[in-house]
Amino acid sequence: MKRKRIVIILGVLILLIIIILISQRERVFYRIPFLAPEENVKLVRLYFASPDADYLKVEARRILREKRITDEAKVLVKELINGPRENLDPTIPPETQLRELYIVPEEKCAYLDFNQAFQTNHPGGSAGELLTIYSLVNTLIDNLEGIERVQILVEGKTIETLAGHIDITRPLPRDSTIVEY
Amino acid sequence: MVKKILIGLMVTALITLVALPLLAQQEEIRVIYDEGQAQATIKSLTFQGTNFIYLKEMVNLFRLDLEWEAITKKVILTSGPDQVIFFVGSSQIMVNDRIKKIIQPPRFSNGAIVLPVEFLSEILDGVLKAKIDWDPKTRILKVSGGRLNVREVRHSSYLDSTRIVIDLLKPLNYRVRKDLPAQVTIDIYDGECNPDQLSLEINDGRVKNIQAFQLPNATQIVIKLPKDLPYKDFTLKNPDRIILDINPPQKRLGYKITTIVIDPGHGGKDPGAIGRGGTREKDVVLAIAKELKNLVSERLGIRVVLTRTGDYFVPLRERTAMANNEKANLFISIHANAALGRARGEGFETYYHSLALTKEAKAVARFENSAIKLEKGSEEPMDQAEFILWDMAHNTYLNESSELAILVQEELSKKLKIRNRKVGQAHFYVLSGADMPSILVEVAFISNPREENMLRNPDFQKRVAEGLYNAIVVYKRSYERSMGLVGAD
Ligand SMILES: [Zn+2]
Repeated sequence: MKRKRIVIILGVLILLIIIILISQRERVFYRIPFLAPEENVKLVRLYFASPDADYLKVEARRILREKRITDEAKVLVKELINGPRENLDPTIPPETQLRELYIVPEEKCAYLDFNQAFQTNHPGGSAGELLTIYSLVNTLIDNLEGIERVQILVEGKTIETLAGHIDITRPLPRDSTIVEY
Repeated sequence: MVKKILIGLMVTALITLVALPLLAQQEEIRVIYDEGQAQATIKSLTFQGTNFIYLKEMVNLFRLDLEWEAITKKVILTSGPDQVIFFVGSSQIMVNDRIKKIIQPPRFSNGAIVLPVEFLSEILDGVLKAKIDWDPKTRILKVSGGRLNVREVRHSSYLDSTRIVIDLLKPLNYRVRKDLPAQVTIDIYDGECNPDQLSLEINDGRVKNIQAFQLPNATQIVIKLPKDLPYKDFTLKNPDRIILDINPPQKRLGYKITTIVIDPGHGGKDPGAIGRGGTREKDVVLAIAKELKNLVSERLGIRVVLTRTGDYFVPLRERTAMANNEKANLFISIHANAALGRARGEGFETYYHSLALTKEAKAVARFENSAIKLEKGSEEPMDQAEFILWDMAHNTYLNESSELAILVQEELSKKLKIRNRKVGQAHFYVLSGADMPSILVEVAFISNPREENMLRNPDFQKRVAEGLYNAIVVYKRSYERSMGLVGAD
């Protein structure tokens, strides 16, 4: 009888040790908490202004993957409007709202339609305009498959310039001359 | 008796529990550099059959700079101009401008970040110009060529010239030779390269190919041309590089300056940028333009036309049309700069036009530092229709415009005590139809309170006008001198 009890206790103990050992092994490499599963997350490159307004610089950020490219484009624009998290400067007036965004796959072009505040609250200046325009253009082209041009609209209309300098009447391709990596 | 057994078992269990994770870390990896010239040993751990090494040790090994952002679990590794960004636990990594996927992501082990050895070469490819080989049987990590200082050879083909860029890790002495017909040779002293990585086939009508050779004390770059062509070399910094232009652009001849149109930006209902102290761009640029007009017409006797002489609105199209109608030889648009953000920018900069239809069109910026960054992405050939359009519309005055822009920056830097920013190129609405060399100068940042104060100061305005005047004088002299000197560089 006594021997039987010892065997049972031993068996339970060995099982316990095995369980603890396995869980301990797993704990050495634990999962990172509070993050969405890897397949739902997309690493993106967002362009913001360097602190001296000289160049655009990349901030790597993770966004939730969207099923439709248009939705993903909207997320990117919203992230840009929200501004940088790192030691960079914003490129878009905070009052800006994206009214509509549509993609024409045959043109490989994304059309971004902003509210009037985007233009009215813009500080102006060639440097300021270039940073604003190409933070949008480069971010969308870099992160979205099949997009090569970006057309900026205000209240549904094309405008000559944002504040008197850079021509935005047509869809713009990526520009890397104002990017510093 | 039972108790003894139980206690014994518990003690064993405890010891095993404490010792096991330690045991897992006791493996080592041998690192051998450059065919056995140097060695090191680093710790490794195994997880699901994969070997991991500590990030800290790897950073020391390859002399990388490490930045860590705890909240987002973001790691930034830099080596000179190159950068790798990854998030612990994520298999997506960003190497310079490219996003890559790796099978085994970096992870945590007892609070330390560890990386899979198998994917080290993938993670560091493009950041280290070294070759990394991992042999799991012998547990040896072979690193070859990590100290290469001649890192890359790139090229861009323009309308009628070809630019070759040699990226260096640090400034190196070099010599350009032309000993053989249809060939240019660059000897880079103390250069170390991987010749296979640097050789290029180009065949763009001006350059056939580029071959690299590693000599005992130098790297030799041999550029084969279809025929003898003029060339020009110079160096640039950040990152350090040697530039060789084959068939560089030549100066226009028989060009005379008799009329200049000066364009004070904005006006009327368009105030331009407004400083925090209430200074308006349209007012200060008008004052500078009037000052410049006086200097040029009085001292040079050149006819000067202002696109506006008071505070009223003139559409951008009309300003350019005015310059074309006046048959002006130069068009100078004067503005004050602004930007969002904390510092809100500082200094003066000068732009000239580019047709932003294609990124290739932007590649015409041949002269200044910042413009060279675009070359990496300018390899695809331009669409024929776009090419012709671009050529007809803009090839004619881009060289002159960029030259004037450079002179303006130079002369303003002699007169102003604020930062000399850059010469830039962009698709400006007001410059797009100009049938003459044209520039747009941003004389200071009105959005920066310190520079806003300067801008409203008549003495500062006068010094800006003098700087611009001096640039016009040097430009005019240079073009009059080059008249008739056929083939001069
Ligand atoms: Zn302006």
